[in-house]
Amino acid sequence: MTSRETDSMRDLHSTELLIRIQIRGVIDADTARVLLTEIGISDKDVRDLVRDGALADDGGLLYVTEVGDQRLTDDLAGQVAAGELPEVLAFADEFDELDLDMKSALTAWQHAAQAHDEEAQMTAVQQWLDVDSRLHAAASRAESTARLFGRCLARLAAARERVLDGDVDQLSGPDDSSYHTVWFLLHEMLLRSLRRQRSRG
Amino acid sequence: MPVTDETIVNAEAEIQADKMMLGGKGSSLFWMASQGLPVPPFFVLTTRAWRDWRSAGQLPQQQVVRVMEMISWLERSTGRTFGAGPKPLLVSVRSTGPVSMPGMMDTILNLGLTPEAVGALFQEFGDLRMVADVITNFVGTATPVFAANQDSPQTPHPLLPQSAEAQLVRAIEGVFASWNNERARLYRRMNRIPDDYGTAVIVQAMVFGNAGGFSGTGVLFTRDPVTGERVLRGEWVPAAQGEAIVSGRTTPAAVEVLEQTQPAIYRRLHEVADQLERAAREPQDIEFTVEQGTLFLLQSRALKSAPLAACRTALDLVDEGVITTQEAARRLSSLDLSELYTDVLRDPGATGAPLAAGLAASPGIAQGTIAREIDVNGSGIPGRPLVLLRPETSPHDLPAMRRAAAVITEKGGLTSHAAIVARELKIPCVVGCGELKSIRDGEEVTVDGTTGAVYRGRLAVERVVPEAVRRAETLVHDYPAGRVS
Repeated sequence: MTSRETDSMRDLHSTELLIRIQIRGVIDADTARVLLTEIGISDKDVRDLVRDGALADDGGLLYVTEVGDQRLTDDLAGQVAAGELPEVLAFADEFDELDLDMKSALTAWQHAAQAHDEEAQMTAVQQWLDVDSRLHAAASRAESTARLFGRCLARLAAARERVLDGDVDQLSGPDDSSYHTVWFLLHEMLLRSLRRQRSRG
Repeated sequence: MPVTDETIVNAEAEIQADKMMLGGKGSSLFWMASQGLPVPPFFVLTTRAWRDWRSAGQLPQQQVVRVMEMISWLERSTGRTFGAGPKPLLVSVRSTGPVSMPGMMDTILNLGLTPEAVGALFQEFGDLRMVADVITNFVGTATPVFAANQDSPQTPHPLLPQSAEAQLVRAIEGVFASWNNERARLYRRMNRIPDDYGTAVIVQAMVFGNAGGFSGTGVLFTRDPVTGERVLRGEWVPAAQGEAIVSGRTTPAAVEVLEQTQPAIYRRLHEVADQLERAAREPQDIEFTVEQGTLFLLQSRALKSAPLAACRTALDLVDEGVITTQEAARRLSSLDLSELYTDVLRDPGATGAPLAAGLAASPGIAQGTIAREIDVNGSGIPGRPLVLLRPETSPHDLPAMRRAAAVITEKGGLTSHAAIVARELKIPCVVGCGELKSIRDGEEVTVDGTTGAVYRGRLAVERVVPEAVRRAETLVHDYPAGRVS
């Protein structure tokens, strides 16, 4: 790996740390340690983010500042090389359609669960699995999208396996690691990498 | 010719209806056949055959031989020939697990449809539309199963084999394999069904609901699955096979139309429904087909009802003398009766017209102080619930949503991220309200996520408990031994 690639990887990891802290709001030292291990980032990188004003360290509690929020957008957009833009735009177009289908599938899942309708729940599961396959196919079409969003895609794959192993709260649940939360995050990263605003809820 | 061994049994076998061996659907077919109800001839490859298939990685040759012997028996029973003229025998191949897993595994219809059988079917019925429908249902149900179980590229063969025997063997193996598809695997985890139960397979002579004359297919519920009321409900599609209802390709009519068009069939369905429900001691979901005026039953299984319907049904079955009070208490104990309470606003107009109206995305009522931003660092007014109001939500709103009593958004629909998260958090949510500049930060509001309205101030809330739920709670209280752990 060249030093440029190493720097790029570190940037991706810092970006992931910021975004994962942001969806938790505030994290304590124990949670921070778990996140650092999961992402593969060092204490020094965290100290650098605090020094740069991207993270606030309030007596051991970490949260993302406004500077950090802006940096997140800049970092994500900056990681898309000029030549890669058409690929990312194509992926974003495809993702728009997938996003609607995914949210429909998860909504159908929730309504079916509420109605105790197992057949409808499993129909929704099949819709979800189909969209998941389409997402991975779309992301793997270009090297740039596989690189930029690879960690999110891996987390989605892990969430998918947890759901299929019976932990159904990991499908549409509000946890950081649930399939829906990671999907939501992937959507946000994609929008920021293109400096786009969210066009719908 | 009753045939019984541990791997394959046919409809004439006098055996105990053992769900572990024959699966739920299989044992219900045996029971219906034993009662003289009109069931098309069938045989079952048992869960033992599934275990043999799993060990060998394919259907063992001796079972292939036995399956073809059973096909010969089906041919004799129906006067038809498998995959050939002049009257072709087509079969369905269905999964039947020991515990009901509705829709999780695969089913193939009209198997045995060789080129010769297509021609013979047209000769027999003289109806091109019907033949086209038979082909569509075969290809539509067989292709995904065969594709999912395609051999390695080293041994290529056509996706839909032309020989009826080859179709049948691949279909049985495909349905066995569907025990391990992702949906089935998840369903077993959710319902704590052991992986090693396996599935049996039913091979049954097809009847043609898509034939001419008075033909069609339907499902029948012995009680209303939503209200629990003791009335026949169901769906009916004329000139169609069962796949028409499952696939949603056609819009079914209510089964009551048969009362006008085919009163004799409708009366018979009433009798059958009563007989099956009394025998099972619970409401049934029955699949049936009518071929040129003759009724056939294809399946009867426990009806999956909405919780309130299940509550009412358990009480009604006691009143009808079908089950004991203790049995009803046991059934009711498995329901979360508190889920059936609903909160409503006593006087929604008490503080004037709604401040906002949108889509009811997550039910329930909550009251609190409007906050366009919620400080996730823990500050805020202690003891005062907050109602998060956002144009739309993004992932960094998740910490705020977790702290909010309710969520309102200006944009977004029922499938928006905000709606999905709110439903998981079980907090009321109203989305797509349009611009809400008139609602100020710090304003007290009541959010009704069931109707999609936001009101000024704190309105009085009333809890509604249905009468059936009150009765059920008393019964469960009086018969605690019925409780399940």
